[in-house]
Amino acid sequence: MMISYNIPEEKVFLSGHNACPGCGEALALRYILNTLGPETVGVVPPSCIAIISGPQPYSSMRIPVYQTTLEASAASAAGIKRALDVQGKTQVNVVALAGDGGTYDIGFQALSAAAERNEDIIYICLDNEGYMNTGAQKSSATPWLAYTTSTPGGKPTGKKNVAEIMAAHEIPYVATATVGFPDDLTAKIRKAKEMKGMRFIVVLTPCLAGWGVPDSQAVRVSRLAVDTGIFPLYEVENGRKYTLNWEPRGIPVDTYLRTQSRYKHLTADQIEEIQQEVNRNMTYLREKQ
Amino acid sequence: MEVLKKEIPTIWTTGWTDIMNTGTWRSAMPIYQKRKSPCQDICPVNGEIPTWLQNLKSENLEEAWLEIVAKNPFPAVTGRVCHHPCESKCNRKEYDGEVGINSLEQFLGDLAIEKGWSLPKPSQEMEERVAVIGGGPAGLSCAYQLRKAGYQVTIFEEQPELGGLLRFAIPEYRLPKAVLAKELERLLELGFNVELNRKIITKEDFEQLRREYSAVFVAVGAYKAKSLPQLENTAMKVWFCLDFLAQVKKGEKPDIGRKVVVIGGGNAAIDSARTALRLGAKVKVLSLEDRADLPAINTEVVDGEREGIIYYHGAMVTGVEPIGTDSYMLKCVKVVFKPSDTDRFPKTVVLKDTEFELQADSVILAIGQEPDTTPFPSELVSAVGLLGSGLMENQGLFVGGDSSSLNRYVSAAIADGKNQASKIIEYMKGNKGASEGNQNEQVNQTVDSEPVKFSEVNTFYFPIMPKVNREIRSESNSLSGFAEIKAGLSQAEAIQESSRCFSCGHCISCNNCFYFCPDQAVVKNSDLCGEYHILEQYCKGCGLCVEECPRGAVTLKEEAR
Ligand SMILES: Cc1cc2nc3c(=O)[nH]c(=O)nc-3n(C[C@H](O)[C@H](O)[C@H](O)COP(=O)(O)OP(=O)(O)OC[C@H]3O[C@@H](n4cnc5c(N)ncnc54)[C@H](O)[C@@H]3O)c2cc1C
Ligand SMILES: Cc1ncc(C[n+]2csc(CCOP(=O)(O)OP(=O)(O)O)c2C)c(N)n1
Ligand code: SF4
Ligand code: SF4
Ligand code: SF4
Ligand SMILES: [Mg+2]
Repeated sequence: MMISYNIPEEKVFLSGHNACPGCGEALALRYILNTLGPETVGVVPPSCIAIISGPQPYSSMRIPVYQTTLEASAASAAGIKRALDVQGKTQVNVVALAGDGGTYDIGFQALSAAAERNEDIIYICLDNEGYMNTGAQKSSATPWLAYTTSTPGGKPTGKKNVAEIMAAHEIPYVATATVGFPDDLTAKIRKAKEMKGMRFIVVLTPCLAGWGVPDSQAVRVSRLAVDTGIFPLYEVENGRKYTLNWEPRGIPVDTYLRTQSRYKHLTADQIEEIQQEVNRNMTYLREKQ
Repeated sequence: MEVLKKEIPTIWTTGWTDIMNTGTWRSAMPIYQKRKSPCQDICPVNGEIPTWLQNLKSENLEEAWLEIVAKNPFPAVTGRVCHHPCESKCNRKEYDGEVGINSLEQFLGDLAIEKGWSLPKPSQEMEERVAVIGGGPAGLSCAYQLRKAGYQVTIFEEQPELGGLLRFAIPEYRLPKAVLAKELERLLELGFNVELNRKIITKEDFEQLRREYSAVFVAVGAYKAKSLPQLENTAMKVWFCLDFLAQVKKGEKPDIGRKVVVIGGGNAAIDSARTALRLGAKVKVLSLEDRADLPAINTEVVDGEREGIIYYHGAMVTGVEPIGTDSYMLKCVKVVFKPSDTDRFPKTVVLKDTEFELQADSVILAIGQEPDTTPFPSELVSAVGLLGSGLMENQGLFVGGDSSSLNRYVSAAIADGKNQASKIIEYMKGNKGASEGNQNEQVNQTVDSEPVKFSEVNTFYFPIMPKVNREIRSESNSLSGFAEIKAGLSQAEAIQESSRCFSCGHCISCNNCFYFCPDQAVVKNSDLCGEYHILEQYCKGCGLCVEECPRGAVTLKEEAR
């Protein structure tokens, strides 16, 4: 049978935004915002998301959005949520929408602290594997050997596993998602929306300019990340209950790496090493289930 | 002195981005297009295959069947005997095996018979009368299309029954008489004058018809046997394949002896050989062509081999000598022979020192047939010895099927009948001075001339799913009689198989283009003519919708600014 989608949407995210043509992050925002619905307050730190949210005084998000500092997304969101609760507006969801730089690196202290306090917020990291709106510098989400403007010879260290770090905080919900699987992505947003406490979702969003991918390929690249096992789709509840949501089709990592010019300098041996690493990671993940 | 007052921008949002015109960024624009699928492109009758496969998949069974019979009134027949070039060109072939279009056509054809569905009745009655000479697939298809458009049609048929080679040649084990009879019966319900046992013999006979009818369609097939000089002066029994097959179809048991050699490499040769096997003979087939060049449908050649035919490809008979009273020795030699589309009589090169002998009680000759052109005007007989189609159309005389073509397939004959019917209608309208044009076809014409390529299919959406094949009954069974060899698919199997179709170039409203647009520039709408619509104000021309359409129904067109 054929794979097809049926995704309910409430139009919160608007057309006319400033994302690059074919942007994976804009597509993710469409699904996240249109699933969360109008009773939502957004918190956005400096990032491509801030650019996409609109040039002042225009907004592409039909909800109140607070633009905070790069360090403070989780703290700002927690403060807003507590204030709303005091006002009796307990039904309003507060969502932080931050990049990987603002999550894995610069905003990490505030994030870890909010998780430790189990703040009642949804924190979504749109992971494009680098500081992209400032010119594609590396972050701790950039994968091993990937070219960025600040790692011209390829990044010497690996990607931090932020989902596992957040799961180790034993918060109610941690999930990974990506734009190539919009049904899975929106199901996770819906699930998070119904839960209480700290919820963290990391969404892989291919960056066309930063990764060196043609305008029409964000979805294909996103799916290959999953089907090669490089970015498995899974959930962790209360730091314990692991569920793998999509069985990777076992496509060789080479197929994924070849879609992006940031990997074009890789040698056959390096690709093989990446393959071995991915195989090991998949084994660990399966053992946790 | 006046003080300049600086306006301080508000920190609050005062408007929304949907007033922006991001469409100015783009250099290409996606367009929705119904495009040709490769299966339809090669199908002789131009069947709307993706459309009826979707209907079948959604279990709109009668609708699916109606879509087929719009162009081909005999799906239960073609579902069994068509050489199905559609499957050889199917895009899914490159993925996990072609869609079993032919078996699905058979399924719907058989279901229609079982359910008693009828063909659509003519919506109007016209005065003009058309004569169709020959009641084979070409003549019947033409008669059907004319009748559908309301014309009065008389069919003249030499034999006591309609069907042509379908009735008197193609063996029972491939095409049961009962199946053909049902499809003929249903066709005749539309109302035709049928004159059986009526052969058009002389030129006067023919000219009489031309005077009486507004137009004449000649589809008399090809029945004149070619002979083989090497076998002329022998007492050995030499059968003409069509006589042999017709006798068996009538239920007779022609005496062919125990050892039979069939000469020829087309369907008639293979059918004669497999029929002879069923009469208990040991059968050898001798063909000039190499295996790869045989004109017969390959599955037939393979099935025959499995049943016990021994093939001698690239060989010919040079003479014959008697052994004893009832048996003969055929002198043979290996040859090189390359059939050619341009040269009707390509050279046969004999290979030295390759002589061999085959013992035979009788020979069945299946080396080709030509039309008998006696009753027809000499202007109509073309250089290759066939009736030339297109030569006398302006005088109301049309030709089709085996009598005017070397492309001898049932589906080609049906296609000829259909296409000539359009021309006949055009001719008759022209005569009346009305130029309503030809409303028969062309309605759903696809815009793009190139059929959708496999590279345009997004296979992510189609998990691997092997083809469901028709089952073949076991050998011991099949050789003991003339019962049909292949079993049709069950409804569950047919629906499963139809769901494998990519629906190349034909939108099935899967919504992918809608869901994957980061700019929400694709809208679903019911008020505009197409189901999907692209908002030019927002579309940035990224091409994601094109990439994620599983079937090439959206394409990017460069925009000059
Ligand atoms: C043994 C055999 C097996 C075949 N197998 C296949 C197959 O598996 N698949 C496939 O696609 N094709 C097959 N073919 C080819 C296919 O049968 C023909 O291409 C097709 O039948 C041609 O249709 P037609 O209407 O042009 O001619 P025909 O089917 O020959 O019909 C012509 C009709 O005209 C009548 N007629 C002739 N002269 C006159 C006259 N003067 N007056 C009145 N009536 C006349 C005849 O009696 C006949 O009914 C096979 C052919 C043979 C011989
Ligand atoms: C403390 C601080 N350091 C640096 C910056 C400059 N800055 C703005 S956005 C940004 C990149 C953020 O990267 P990421 O969070 O991954 O978002 P992306 O642009 O990739 O969407 C940087 C470094 C800043 N605003 N604040
Ligand atoms: S997949 Fe379907 S539409 Fe495409 S060529 Fe095959 S049968 Fe035709
Ligand atoms: S996905 Fe949207 S923006 Fe991209 S080409 Fe299609 S309609 Fe235009
Ligand atoms: S993506 Fe789906 S809905 Fe859009 S054109 Fe293609 S088949 Fe039709
Ligand atoms: Mg980033």
